[in-house]
Amino acid sequence: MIEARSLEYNYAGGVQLNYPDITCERGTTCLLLGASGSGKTTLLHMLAGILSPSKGSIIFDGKDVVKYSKKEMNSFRGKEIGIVFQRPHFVNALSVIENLCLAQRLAGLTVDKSKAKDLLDRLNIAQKANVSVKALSQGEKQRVAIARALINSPALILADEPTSALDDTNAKEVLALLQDVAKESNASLLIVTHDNRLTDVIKNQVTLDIQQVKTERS
Amino acid sequence: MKGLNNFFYFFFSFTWKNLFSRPLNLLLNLILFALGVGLISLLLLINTQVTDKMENNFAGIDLVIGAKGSPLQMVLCNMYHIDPPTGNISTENAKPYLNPDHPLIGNAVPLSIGDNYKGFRIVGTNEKIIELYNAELSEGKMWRGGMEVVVGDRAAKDAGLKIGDRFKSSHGLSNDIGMEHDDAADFIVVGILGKTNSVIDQLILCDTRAVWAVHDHDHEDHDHDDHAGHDHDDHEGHDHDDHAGHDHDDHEGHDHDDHAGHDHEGHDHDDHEGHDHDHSEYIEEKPFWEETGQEITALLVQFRNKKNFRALNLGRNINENTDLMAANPAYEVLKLQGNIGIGVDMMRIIAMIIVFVSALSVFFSLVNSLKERKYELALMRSMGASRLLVFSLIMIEGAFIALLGYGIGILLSHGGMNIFASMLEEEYRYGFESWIFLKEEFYMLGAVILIGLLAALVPAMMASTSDISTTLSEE
Repeated sequence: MIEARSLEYNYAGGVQLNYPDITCERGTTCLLLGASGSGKTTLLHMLAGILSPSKGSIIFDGKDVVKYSKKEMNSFRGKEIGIVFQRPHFVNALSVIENLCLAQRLAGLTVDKSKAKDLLDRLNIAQKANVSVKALSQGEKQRVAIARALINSPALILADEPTSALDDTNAKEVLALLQDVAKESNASLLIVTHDNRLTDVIKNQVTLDIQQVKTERS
Repeated sequence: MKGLNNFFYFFFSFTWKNLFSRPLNLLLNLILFALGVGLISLLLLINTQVTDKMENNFAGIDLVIGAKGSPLQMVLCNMYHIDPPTGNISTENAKPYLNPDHPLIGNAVPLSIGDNYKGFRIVGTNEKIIELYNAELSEGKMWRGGMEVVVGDRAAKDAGLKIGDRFKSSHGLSNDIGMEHDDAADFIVVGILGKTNSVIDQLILCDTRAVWAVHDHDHEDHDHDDHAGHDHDDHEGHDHDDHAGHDHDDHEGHDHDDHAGHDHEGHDHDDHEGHDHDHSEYIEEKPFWEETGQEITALLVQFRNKKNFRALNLGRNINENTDLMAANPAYEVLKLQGNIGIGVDMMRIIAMIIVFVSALSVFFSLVNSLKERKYELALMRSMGASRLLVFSLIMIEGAFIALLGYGIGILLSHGGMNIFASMLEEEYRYGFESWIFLKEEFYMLGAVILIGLLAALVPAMMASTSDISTTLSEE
């Protein structure tokens, strides 16, 4: 379970963002909604351990992640967090399967090729395992990105606008896929989006209000 | 252990794949590194071996005396056997310096140069040349006159000469076809020298008179009967008593009894039918320098006392007061090395500039590649990679390019040396090694990897310190 308590982030320009509390149980899906500029990506990065909040705590299975050392943070990111970025990016010099194995290795886990293959199989792209990631179509890239986010069986899956570039059918399919695997591995799924197609399906929603953006006394 | 192996394998394959994903960049960097490294290594190889050869062949020679001309040429011809002679000197002129009682000269080795066998010079001389180069017979015995020859190690191997072999010499110093002394008597191999790493390895040595015999024959167009009458009649009836009257002090250690009982079995005298040989051929005649109207090429001189100022002035005296020329080999070689040195230094500077440019090139291509890979590296960080890991990956790329470039450069230089060596061998019969590795080359390996790491340092720092969040937010 992940809980964010009274998170605050100060930008370099003196702009301060306050975030509403968030709770996302394991095995459930939670939507983070908000207009552009409401600090959605910043929140995602804080939850992913990429960015440190100025104030507040992120409780992950009872531990405050904010207090982690750099080393603990690296390991935490690799093992417990799976991120699906808005636009799928990979290490371009490597093949699909190598990219998945890289995720295992960077997290400090043993490389398990068969697990990677199984996952690709589940996502219907097993035939592309040894293809260079540069040769994939946009849809295939999206699937590989999901596979990579799931390869280490993380406790928290963060997805940044995973459906914004997709048509209705594909958007539905990707959502189903994410929810399926999250439920299967008992992970929390947190989707950052402004895609209204998702709001109808997922009940647990937190809206980031632009009003919460405050400018500090100059 | 397996984990560690995996770890190295990961670094290696990751670096390799990343470098290979930009093949043209990699190629440029490798070519530059290989050029720089190859040039430096080639210079080292040539310079070390040429210097070694020059020094090995000094052989304690203080003075070379020969015909007037270029002193350097005389030194190169008579000590290194790579240039043609400046000319010949008459025995009359050479005689004073060959006198064993000369107050300043301790040792004078005559050389008569002009013929070759398969490109190996045949040198008419005396047995003192063996001591001069610290050579020893590995097989057979010393020549005792006539057409007997003792062959240097390399000459024996490369020309395929064995004890008992007979061959005809060719006029000139290179292996030109059609220059054989067809009418002259065969040379007979009686001894083979052990390896000395000096120039004597590539020489075929015989008595001074043997060279004269070949040439008298040629030039005066003697027929065999004439020839038979020519030298040998003079010597017939030459007996030990006569000889005894001769100055035996000159020939200390020369055992005449042994000589008389010399075993000629196995010598094929049939070839010499009509020559009317008898054993007088092997009996010491009067010293060759007593012969008039003959010529030798040069004398290699060692002083009795190298510090004697009169000895040091001997060369100048010869040059000023006689028709001969004397040259100090150390001085001539130093001058030559000085001249070559300028070229070598220039090449070395060029090579270092190339290495510097290759470092710059690696630096620029890494910085450039970071622009493309910035997102990729941030992504890796988001997946748990530490700053140190990202830093190391970039550093290893720099070192890897340098190492690979070094490897190619070393291969190129040694391969080039191989070709160069065979050219030199063809031309001068000097053997050069192409697959020896100098300690300087190992130092260079360290230096080159350091340069690669240095070139990667700034890009690696840029990569490891970039803000992940900012990079990932950029689209």
